[in-house]
Amino acid sequence: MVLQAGQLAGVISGIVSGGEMSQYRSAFALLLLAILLRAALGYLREWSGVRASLGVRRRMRTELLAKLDRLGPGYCHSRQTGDLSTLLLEQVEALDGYFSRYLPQMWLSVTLPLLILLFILPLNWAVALIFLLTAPLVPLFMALVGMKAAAANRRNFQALANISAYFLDLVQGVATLKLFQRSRGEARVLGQVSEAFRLRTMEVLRLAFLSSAVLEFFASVSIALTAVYLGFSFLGELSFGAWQGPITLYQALFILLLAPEFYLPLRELGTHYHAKQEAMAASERLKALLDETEHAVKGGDLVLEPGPVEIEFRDLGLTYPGREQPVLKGLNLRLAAGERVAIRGPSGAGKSSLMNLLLGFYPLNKGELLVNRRPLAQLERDGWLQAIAWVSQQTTLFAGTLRDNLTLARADASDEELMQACVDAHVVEFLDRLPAGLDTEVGETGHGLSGGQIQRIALARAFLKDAPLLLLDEPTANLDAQSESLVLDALARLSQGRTVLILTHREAAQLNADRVLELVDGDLVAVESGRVS
Amino acid sequence: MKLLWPYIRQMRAHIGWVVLGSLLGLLTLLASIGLLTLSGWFITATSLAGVAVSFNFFTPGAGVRGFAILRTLGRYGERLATHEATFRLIARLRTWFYQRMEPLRPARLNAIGSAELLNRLIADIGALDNLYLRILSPTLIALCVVALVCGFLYLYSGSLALIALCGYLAAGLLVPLLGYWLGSEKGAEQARTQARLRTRMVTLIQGMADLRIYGGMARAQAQIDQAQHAFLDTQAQMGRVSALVNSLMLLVVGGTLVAVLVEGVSLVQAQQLQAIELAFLLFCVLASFEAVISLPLAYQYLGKTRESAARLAVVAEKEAERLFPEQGAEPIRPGTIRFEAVEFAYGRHSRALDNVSFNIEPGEKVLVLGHSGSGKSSLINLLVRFWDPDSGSIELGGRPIASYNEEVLRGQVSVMGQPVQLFAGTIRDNLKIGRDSASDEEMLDLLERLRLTQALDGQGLDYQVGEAGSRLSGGQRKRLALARALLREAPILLLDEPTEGLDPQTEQAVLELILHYRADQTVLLISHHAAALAYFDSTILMDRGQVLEQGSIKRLLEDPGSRISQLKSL
Repeated sequence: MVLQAGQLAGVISGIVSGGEMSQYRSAFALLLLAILLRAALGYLREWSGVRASLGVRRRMRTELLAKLDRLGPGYCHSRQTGDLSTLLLEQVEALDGYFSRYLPQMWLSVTLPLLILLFILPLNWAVALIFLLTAPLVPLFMALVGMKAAAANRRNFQALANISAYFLDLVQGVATLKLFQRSRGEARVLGQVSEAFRLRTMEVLRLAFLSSAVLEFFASVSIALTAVYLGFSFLGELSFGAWQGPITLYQALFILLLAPEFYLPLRELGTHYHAKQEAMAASERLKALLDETEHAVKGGDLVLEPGPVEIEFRDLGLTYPGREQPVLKGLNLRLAAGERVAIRGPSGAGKSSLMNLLLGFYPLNKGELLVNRRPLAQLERDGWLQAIAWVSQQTTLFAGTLRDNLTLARADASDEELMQACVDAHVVEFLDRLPAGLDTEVGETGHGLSGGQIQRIALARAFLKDAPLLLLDEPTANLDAQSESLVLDALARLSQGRTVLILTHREAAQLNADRVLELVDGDLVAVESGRVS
Repeated sequence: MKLLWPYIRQMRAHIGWVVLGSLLGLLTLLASIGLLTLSGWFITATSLAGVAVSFNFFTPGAGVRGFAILRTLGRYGERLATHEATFRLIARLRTWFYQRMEPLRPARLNAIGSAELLNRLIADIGALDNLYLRILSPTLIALCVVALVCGFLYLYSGSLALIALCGYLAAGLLVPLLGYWLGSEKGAEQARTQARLRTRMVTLIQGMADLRIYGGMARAQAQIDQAQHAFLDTQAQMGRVSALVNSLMLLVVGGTLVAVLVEGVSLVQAQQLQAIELAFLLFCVLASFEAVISLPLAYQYLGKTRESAARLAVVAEKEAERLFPEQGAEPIRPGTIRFEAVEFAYGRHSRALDNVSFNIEPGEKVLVLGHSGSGKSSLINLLVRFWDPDSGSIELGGRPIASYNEEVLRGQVSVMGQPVQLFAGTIRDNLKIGRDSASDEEMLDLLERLRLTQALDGQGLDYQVGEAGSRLSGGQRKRLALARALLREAPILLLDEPTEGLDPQTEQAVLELILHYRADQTVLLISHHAAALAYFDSTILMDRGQVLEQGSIKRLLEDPGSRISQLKSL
């Protein structure tokens, strides 16, 4: 770049003072070389910045996903999905500007001006002084403005997270809103939310632009100052600055060409400063997630031996974070291997919480949970979950085919085994009505399938898994009396030789249990067999 | 361009900001060119003028300073104005998109998926900011600047103007075209891969419990990894393209300068141009490239913008089927429902309703019984016109349902569907959706009668239900949705499995409430178990889309041969 400027200045000043064309042939060649070199180096610089940033973002996202995995379903349940997905997507992307542009530019903005100064100083100390004095003002003002901008940016990200949580809610609930004649009115609310977001963003941008305006100002003023100084020197009004003799036109043009280049890295830094602020704000929120205390039970390294499972709850207590009333208080229960126990209780009494504890999705506040007489916390987590088949009230189907959703339970299941599970769970009844049978695509919310059908798919999955412990959380909630009795019959077959814990409110399901307990006020009360009809 | 036209049209509403932003941009650029040109001229002129000659240095000196300040202020103003215009536009586009999406039938939206729609509302609309900020406005400014600078050069030398024009064309047209050509495919790919990554992450977050237990976690994470890989890969390719384009730009700028210089030198030697003129013309050309330098990058991302626009168009340009007449009829006999030989299928394969006919009188309490998949829920979907029957007629309030406009149709029914949908916010927010004017006492009374109060940690109506009601259990969610439907004043109440997941005592209380809350309301309750039979006037027994039996429950129970009596005795 300096080479380019030097040759250019040389040619012009030469021409101006009336030189011959042929004298400048080598200068032209050098000029072309300089241009090529600059282009090639520019390419390398940009590409390496992009590469570095990609690597950082990939690692960051992987780390965040691993963290979410450790935090577990309990945590994910308590956060808004839209919010979390913005965190993982947009906010990780926001790091890009910092790593691909700001960081390399940071180096450039320190080294390049110094380098240019090195070239100018021998020519003229007065100009060097102008540059030297104005340059430090730039980062100073930028930092001052930047501090305010960082705070504004943080608020802005919060606003973005809120807006996407609101949108997800809106999008998922549009049918309901329609039924209540509210969906048109939401357009107004949406307008307000977007408007609030715009105001927030502009608040950030005004500050960011102010910082670049400051930069621009200094760059412009000192270029003007330099030009005026040089002009005056030529006119003889000013005679200081040069080391020896009057300034030559070559020197003057050289300086003037370099002047914008001196401020360019700093100016570019200013435009990327915004990116840096964005990245800082994003990384704070990412860090907040990474620093989240892990509530899920950390697995130990004890391997669960294959075979029957026995479970004991000792004085078990649970209070959800942020709530005062405990859900479970001092609960005791022993499930012998192969025993079928049903727990009933009014909705919201804590039946589902009991399941979450057993699955290790929530930490125990109090008491002990023993599996084959060993504390659950000491067991290796994946091995423990391997030993469990689970059917909940609400089953999530994953984008993919029905077969994909079933083979989650066992990847190597043969077609015969799949069909057997479908027969057992009464999936076959609607299987042939699906356009492509097992290979039918089922979407995000299992569209095209009714609640009862999704539940039967979940049951089929449990049949396939063939695990020693069977957890059933109101599994027949969406089945009619006729298929319920069929499923219960199949479940009875499946329960042979397995430990089973059933949560239900229905009498019929309890009939297959060896023991029925009632969850009252966070504790278990045995139901006398006479009362079970 | 046709694809982008609807969005450009939306700009009209904010035309003031749009024009102001572009004008300020033009002004800034001209000031910038002026600054360097004037400085170059000043120095060269003064050096030639020499010490002795009197030289008017005040005017150019002031000019240089003036341009410097103008440039600074102009740039600040330009950025504020263009971003203001952009964000106003985005806010407007979001509302516009929602308004186009809202009339579509829920079945169509479900086919797109909520994570996907979310992506469209946020990322795709956000990507349209490129359109004005990076594409339209800079292009217009560049055109003006190129015309002005070339005109200015032409005053001195036609050949120099021509060389500069070639440079601008290369920098402003050829390189951007190359960028667009290289980037459009990948840009489009980038938008697609980003959407896929989001969908996969949403599924993972929402379904983590299932994945954990069934060991699908590794597979889901691998899928995300793969999606992320594809996403970042397109970014890397885009990065390579932009690095290439940027270095090409440097080459073009440098090349043009050299060409101007070579031509200029020969002109000077031919005495057609003064050396001093060459000096400041060179500065002028150098500075004016700022106008085109940002274009290639913008056009490289045009592909991404177009892809986003295309994905929005899938929803926004669906002509909302003219479902409802503008001017609708009023019901003659509110509270009546009549199905006459209704046939209906969701797709080509399964028949959901097969020759279904029945008649419900105002105030009648009807229990619809049947297995899951027997077509019960289809009755509700047809009554609210989320779907239309293939043949047969449906009457509501004494008139065909197609004769009502949307407002009158919705005003006649209050629905609690399946699955229930709650919204993040307080219990009060959710209940007020049912009726805005409902008083706190009324709501609390309902919660008490539904036995919901003790679950709310003593916070009552201010209890935060969480995203989609996630801080409530399944049974609690149902009862809250029921309360919401009960609050709404409508002659007909449609309920899909409202007592599902409730224990028998609560179920009994809930049924009592449903049937007595509004005595004259027609109630159609869908259930799959017969326990509630005793509470209702009449029943419709369905199986495989057909009505097996219907009529007064009392009469059916007296007939020992009826299926209802057999069911009851089971």
